[in-house]
Amino acid sequence: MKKICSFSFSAFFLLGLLSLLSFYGCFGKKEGDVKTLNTVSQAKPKTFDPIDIDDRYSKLEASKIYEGLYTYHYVERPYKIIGQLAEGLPSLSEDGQTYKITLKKGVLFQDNKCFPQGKGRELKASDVVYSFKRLADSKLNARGWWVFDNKIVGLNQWREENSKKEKSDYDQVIEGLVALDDYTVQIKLVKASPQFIYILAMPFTYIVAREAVEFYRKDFLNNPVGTGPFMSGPYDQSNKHTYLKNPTFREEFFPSEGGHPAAGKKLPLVEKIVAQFLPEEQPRWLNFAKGNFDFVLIPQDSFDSVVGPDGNIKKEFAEKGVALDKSIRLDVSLLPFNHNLEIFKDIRVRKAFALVFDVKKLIDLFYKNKAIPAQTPIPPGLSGHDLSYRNPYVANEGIKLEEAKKLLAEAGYPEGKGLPPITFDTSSSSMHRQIGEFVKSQLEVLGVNIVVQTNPWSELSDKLHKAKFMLASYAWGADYPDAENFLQLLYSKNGPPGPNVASYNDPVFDQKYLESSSMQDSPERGKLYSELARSVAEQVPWILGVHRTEVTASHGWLQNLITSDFESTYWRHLDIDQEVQKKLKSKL
Amino acid sequence: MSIYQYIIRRLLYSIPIILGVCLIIFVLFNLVSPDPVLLMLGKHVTASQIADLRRELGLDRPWFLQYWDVVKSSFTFEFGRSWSRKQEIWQMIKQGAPVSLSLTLPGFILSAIISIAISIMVAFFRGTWIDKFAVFISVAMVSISSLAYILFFQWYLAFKLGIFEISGYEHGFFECIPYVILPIIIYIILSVGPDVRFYRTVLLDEIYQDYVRTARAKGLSETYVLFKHVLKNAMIPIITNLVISLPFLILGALLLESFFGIPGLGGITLEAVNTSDFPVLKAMAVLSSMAYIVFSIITDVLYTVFDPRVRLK
Repeated sequence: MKKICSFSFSAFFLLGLLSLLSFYGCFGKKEGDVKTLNTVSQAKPKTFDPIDIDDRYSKLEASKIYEGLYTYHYVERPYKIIGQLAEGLPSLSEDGQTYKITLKKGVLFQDNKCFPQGKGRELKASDVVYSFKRLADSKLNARGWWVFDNKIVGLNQWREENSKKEKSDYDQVIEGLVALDDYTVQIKLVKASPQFIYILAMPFTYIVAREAVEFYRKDFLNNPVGTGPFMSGPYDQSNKHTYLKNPTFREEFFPSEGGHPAAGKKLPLVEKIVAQFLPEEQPRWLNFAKGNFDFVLIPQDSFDSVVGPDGNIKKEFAEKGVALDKSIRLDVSLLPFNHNLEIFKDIRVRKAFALVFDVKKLIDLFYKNKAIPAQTPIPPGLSGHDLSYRNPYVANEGIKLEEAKKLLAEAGYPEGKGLPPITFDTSSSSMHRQIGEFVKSQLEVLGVNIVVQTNPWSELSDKLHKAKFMLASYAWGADYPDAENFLQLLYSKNGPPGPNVASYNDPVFDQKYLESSSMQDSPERGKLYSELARSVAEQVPWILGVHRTEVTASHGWLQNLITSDFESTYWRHLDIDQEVQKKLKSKL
Repeated sequence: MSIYQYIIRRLLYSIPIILGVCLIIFVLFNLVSPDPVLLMLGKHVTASQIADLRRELGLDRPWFLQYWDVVKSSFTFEFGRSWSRKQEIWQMIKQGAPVSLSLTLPGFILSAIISIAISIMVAFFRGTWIDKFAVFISVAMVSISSLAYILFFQWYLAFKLGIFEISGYEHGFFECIPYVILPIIIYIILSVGPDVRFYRTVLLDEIYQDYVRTARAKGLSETYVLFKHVLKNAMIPIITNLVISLPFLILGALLLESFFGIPGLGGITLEAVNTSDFPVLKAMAVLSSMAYIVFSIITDVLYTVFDPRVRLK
């Protein structure tokens, strides 16, 4: 008996010791004096190699270190392109095909052992040419190749020729991509493309140093060396990564446009960024509530505890200095019909389905009013979005059941009779499973048999890009702030495996799309986009869903947060008021 | 047969097992898994890009050549790079495995000690309120979802009371301790319930044996009988249970790693499943199978230590 008790006691003693060791962490921690921005993302970055950065989380991290030729103005809205490594906007030839870009002088790559004596050298035009060629190198299989595919004169030929060689020849001259001198790059396009400048603001086109690529070779994706305001050591795939202010970053100042209080301050404004990657909502939110993160997207499950029914922040959080920022995302959710199927070739069937889909109820149930009904593919904030337009096939004032039934009967399916069971493919996340049941309940009022099929994202993506679905859930986020990026979802040549997953094919739309997308930004183009969006929306290629609103909570010590769809602009502009931080943290 | 002969023979038997594992994962991947190429190429995909990437990954070759690659890499341990992250798989495993082990190994050891201790106590007090109470608590612990434990303890102990870190991880022996304490405690709680129930059953099975009755009849104390006779014989199934669990420690505790932001192998495996990252899945399946084989050999060898009647054949 004694032995049993002592044995058991030893076990519990060990457990107690383990618990006590936890206090080691409490006393061992020190707050630094360095101004540090603490951020959190939902996932780890996959890579720091710009040519493969196609996910939001890799973009967020890489944009702390790398820069592109262009970026978006941090303060001004609608989004405005400005030079980042380029000195101002490019000069454009009469035919809109030739871009001449002048680089800023004195821009240095970050100090790194890949350079002689570890000292970063000045950025040159040849770096731009090299970086863009990497996108075209078939051996690298860049995810970002689509941005330049068939766009730059001679680049596809270079890609083709070098695919046969053992080692790609980066010194081979390409007619459409030339460094005229150390600070001037000339790009000649196959045809005029007003969206091309946006491509030069995408992370795929961040500028890299040849020395870094050749030094780190296959490990370059973990060893970023850029020209940006922050730098870091190698990324070890852990859930935390630290960035320090780049001591050789050029002189750059907070924009003076808009009269922001921080106008004229030298960038970056913080000394250090500590980025953590947490896939689950609870720890993200709890850490924010504890003051460990400076701002966070409010998770769905915690939303009601933070935001009142009036949409404002609750008193208990306001007293702790927490502020809310709401912004409508440049995105759209939709339920595409598969236009390869006979039943959906009939517009009356599509209209009937759209008329009974209660999008407002969807927003109320699943988005906690953090969304607005989409009237056309174009979200608010883009030229071509018409604030006053109401799509007659969106249930803005409630569903139109009788009209829908009439249309379905005219199509030869009275009360849904004769229609086969319709599979609705959606994601297997809990929210989307529930949305699937909601869609089923909505469409079944027509007498249609809906079978909800949930899929892991990889399978859903497979079905969408191979057109192996009947009705599905889909969403699109802007690659750049141009309505063309949303209208291209209906361009017939973008059919599967491209982004026109619905396989929508309308020659009239195609013609107008090509006409409008080749126009430079102007009120005329905006008007054309708007007309095109309205007319195609009334063809009901999809059941339109919502444009989402993101609600960000930030602590009172975080300064200068202006939420953007292009979060890459954040890092150099955000600031921490350390005095306020000390005061507010004591209340948490 | 000597131990060495036995071990060599068992290792040779593992070859067809590994071939079978390769075949299963190859078939599952090609028949069931969605096309990884589409996932890797993102939302702007062209037919020519798909063809280029399929060529690069060797997916356009005949199936038997692809299968041969799978077999070759399984025996040479050259798993190449992750398709979704382009990271060296060995590097991912080398980075993730120690992190997972820093959580699962202490949890495993402590939960084993605690479970065995409680089971012995319960076996000693069998039939009494102590026994019934312990069974009740064990069943209750098993009935509560692991997610419920994680959510509650993280919220209450870490956030509300501030005793532990909410999440995170620092590499280094001492640095990681504050971050793994709470996950380890939850790991122990999750393991103790089912383990106590199992070990209690095993001990009671032994306690009711004739030789135990004989020992008591000879005047030996209950404690002596329990520790000298019963425990030793009960160790065989207990060891089996413990040793067979060892290979899975490296895979980590998926939910714990996910909620506590611990960058272990569990998260890597889950991501590989979600992104149809075949090289990573192949590596994890092959390595887990090999670890399972090795540890089952160890289990068999340990049998002979605990039970001299057992002969290896």
